Amino acid sequence: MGVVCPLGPTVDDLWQGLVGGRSGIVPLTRFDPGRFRSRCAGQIDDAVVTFPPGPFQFEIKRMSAFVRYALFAADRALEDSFPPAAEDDRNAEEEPPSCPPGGAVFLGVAMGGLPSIEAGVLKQEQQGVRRTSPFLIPSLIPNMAASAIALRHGIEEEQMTIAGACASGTQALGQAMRAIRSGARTWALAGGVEAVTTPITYSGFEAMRALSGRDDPASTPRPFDRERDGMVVGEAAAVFVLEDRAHAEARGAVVHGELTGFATNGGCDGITAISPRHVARCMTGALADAAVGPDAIDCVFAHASGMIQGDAAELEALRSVTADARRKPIVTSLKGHTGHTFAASGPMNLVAALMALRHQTVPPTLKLEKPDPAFADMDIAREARTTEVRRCLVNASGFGGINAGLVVSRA
Amino acid sequence: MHDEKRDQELFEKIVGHIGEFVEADVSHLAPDSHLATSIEGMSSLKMVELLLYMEDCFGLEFDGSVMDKFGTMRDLVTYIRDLQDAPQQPA
Repeated sequence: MGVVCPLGPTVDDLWQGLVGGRSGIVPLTRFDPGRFRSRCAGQIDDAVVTFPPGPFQFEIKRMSAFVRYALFAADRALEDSFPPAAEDDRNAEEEPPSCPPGGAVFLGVAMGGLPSIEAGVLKQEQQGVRRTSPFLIPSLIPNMAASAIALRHGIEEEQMTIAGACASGTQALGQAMRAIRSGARTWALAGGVEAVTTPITYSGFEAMRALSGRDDPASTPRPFDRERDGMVVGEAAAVFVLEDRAHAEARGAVVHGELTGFATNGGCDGITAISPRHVARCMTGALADAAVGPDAIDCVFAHASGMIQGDAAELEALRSVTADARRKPIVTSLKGHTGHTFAASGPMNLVAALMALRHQTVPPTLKLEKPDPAFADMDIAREARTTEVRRCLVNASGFGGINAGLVVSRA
Repeated sequence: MHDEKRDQELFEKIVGHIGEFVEADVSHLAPDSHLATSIEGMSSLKMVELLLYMEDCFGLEFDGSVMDKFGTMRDLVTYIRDLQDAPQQPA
């Protein structure tokens, strides 16, 4: 697996940040946010997003940030899964990581190159039509992240981009899992990416009253807190090598965990609201796909982004799913650490879940200081908790009534 | 008859700017070199952006209709020289 996020450019950076209670939310610097109510963001440090020489180096520099972040995370995932053999004379600093034939790419992207679109419109209006870069359209189309990964690494089977709002990455992982289960593929790169820290994102979400208005980055967003007031924009890419278990074991690959269940559905009570009924149905579907009951889930990596309605709806759904369970799962959210990374949020949850399985520790819900009394019956992690973690549920929900869930088990 | 020394200097400037643009050594370029085939990794999109870059470098605005018509480096030198010599159009 590979990741780049506000907590750093490695899986260990993410994990140490999560269990150590480190916030990646900062005063945003990508533009002057003075005219906006929300002035914070979970930003990636671009200085760490570098690439060895290789195909399409020139084009990569001209891509919107989401393409570069996805490429970076995919490189890390490939290095993790297909490390060069000892006798391989490939110089890791001079060539991109290699991979075997027969692979595919499934990537979730919600808003694509929104920063490039905004910059392109401004340039067109200020400097004239003919100054538009010929790389504008290729840099912003949502599929370019998956395409750039496939082209750079010579992956010549299917490359699929899924646009399912904030459930995109989770849906992409599920589709890759289904392709492998069906026997159509033995391995695939899959995950999600988002990087939309640009003024139009802030004005659009502010018009929806979706962003937190807190100025202190150390205090926002606050999932499940009674003083939660909205989300904070975050940037991230998280990409995994998914592989048929027998194939992975036959080649001696390190197996971080096993995806055993996936479900995705639709339905909501408004175009953007999260529906408890449909989220519950999605969670139940993922559990059924994994052939386990709610008792078998030790931890839920929630979608909870700090939204008043959304956090409550997700817990209401979980409450109904686990109503008859003998033991209740621990619930946690990453958003206080990283902000809402939209299409990448489910894949980010999956990285955290895999690390929780490895370390037998549930990371805390950062910035949860005053739990909402409405959630008093739920076991929400407020501190890093060492406990038996055999199986986790990963949730994601997106505008348009899209829900997706994954069940991941210890390898 | 145009000034050959001036054309040579202009050619060298253009080679320098192409090198900056592609971030590679392009000192192999000669006046007869074809722009589309003599620069490693050149593509139609890169060519459009290269010409926009040249506009910035020389403070000129190329006519949109000629952008696709540069064959050799010499064509580019001639076009830029002629544009530099053309009287400024009133705004």
